[in-house]
Amino acid sequence: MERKDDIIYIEQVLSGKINAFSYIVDRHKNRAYNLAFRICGNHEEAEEIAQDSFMKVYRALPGFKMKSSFATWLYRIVYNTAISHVRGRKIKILSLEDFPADATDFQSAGISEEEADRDYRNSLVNFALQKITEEERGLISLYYYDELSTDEISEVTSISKSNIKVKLFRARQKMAEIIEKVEKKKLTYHE
Amino acid sequence: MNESKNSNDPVSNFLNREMIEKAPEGFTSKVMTMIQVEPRPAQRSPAKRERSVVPYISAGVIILLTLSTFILPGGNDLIKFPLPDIMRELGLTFPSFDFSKFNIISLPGWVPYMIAGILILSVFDRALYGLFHRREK
Repeated sequence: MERKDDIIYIEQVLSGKINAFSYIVDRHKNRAYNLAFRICGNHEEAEEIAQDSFMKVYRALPGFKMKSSFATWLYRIVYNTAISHVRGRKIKILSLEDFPADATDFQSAGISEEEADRDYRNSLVNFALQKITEEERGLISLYYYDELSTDEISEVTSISKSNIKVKLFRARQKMAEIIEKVEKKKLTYHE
Repeated sequence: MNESKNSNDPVSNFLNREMIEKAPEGFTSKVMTMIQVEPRPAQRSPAKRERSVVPYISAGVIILLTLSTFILPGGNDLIKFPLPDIMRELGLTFPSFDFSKFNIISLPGWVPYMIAGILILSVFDRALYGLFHRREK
């Protein structure tokens, strides 16, 4: 159904109804933005990457093969745009000290403990993501947030299925180690 | 969708769909503003469909030409075509055509074979075109 709707809107855009593109953007903006954000780790850059990707999609729309999934095609464009954007910038190496000690650091007026804990976990994930390579970040995002299968990830990234499994395993291990270290640091902080 | 995540996977406890980062307010309108200044994407032109008709037209013309070589009698006695005789026997006449005049026209014997060859090649070409351009359609 979702795929059918995409095709209807794409055909409308191609027949000259440009405003139909806003429906396409609305439907996919969060997925595109999230993937861009997880790869680059920065809200301003993520917005720029997502916008840039939608512009690329718009320009390349006449060449889109209606037989394939629009979402997969969009993911591929966002993934490649974000990866090349990140590779072109200066590397900032984060240390464990860069991460706040615990959830109380995320608390502010008007925020419940539960919300603060969610913010803490979210920040911890982002921190761990920034400690792995941009390619691994993309794979983790596609696998966990977008819940794509390894087949679909392979289609998006042009990496073989077996290689994706290996890379995902390594990325997961690295992230788990970082999360564990931060959690240990949190315990030491409280002692 | 991917296979269910292992509950022992520490990363999956921190990552889930609910934690997806949402695009900022006004994102769609910003993209649409950028698009307004872009030239329109090239529309799918009917020219492509028209182009694909061309081989069929040429094949049709070749068929007509081939048939004409069988219908029209040539100077060669090897191929004798009965249509003018049949017409005469039935008492049908075309007021403006005198079929006996066509006897003057003589085509070499190999012409029908050449045209039949062209016809076969054009059909073969069409089949190959369909095979190699299947992904583009």
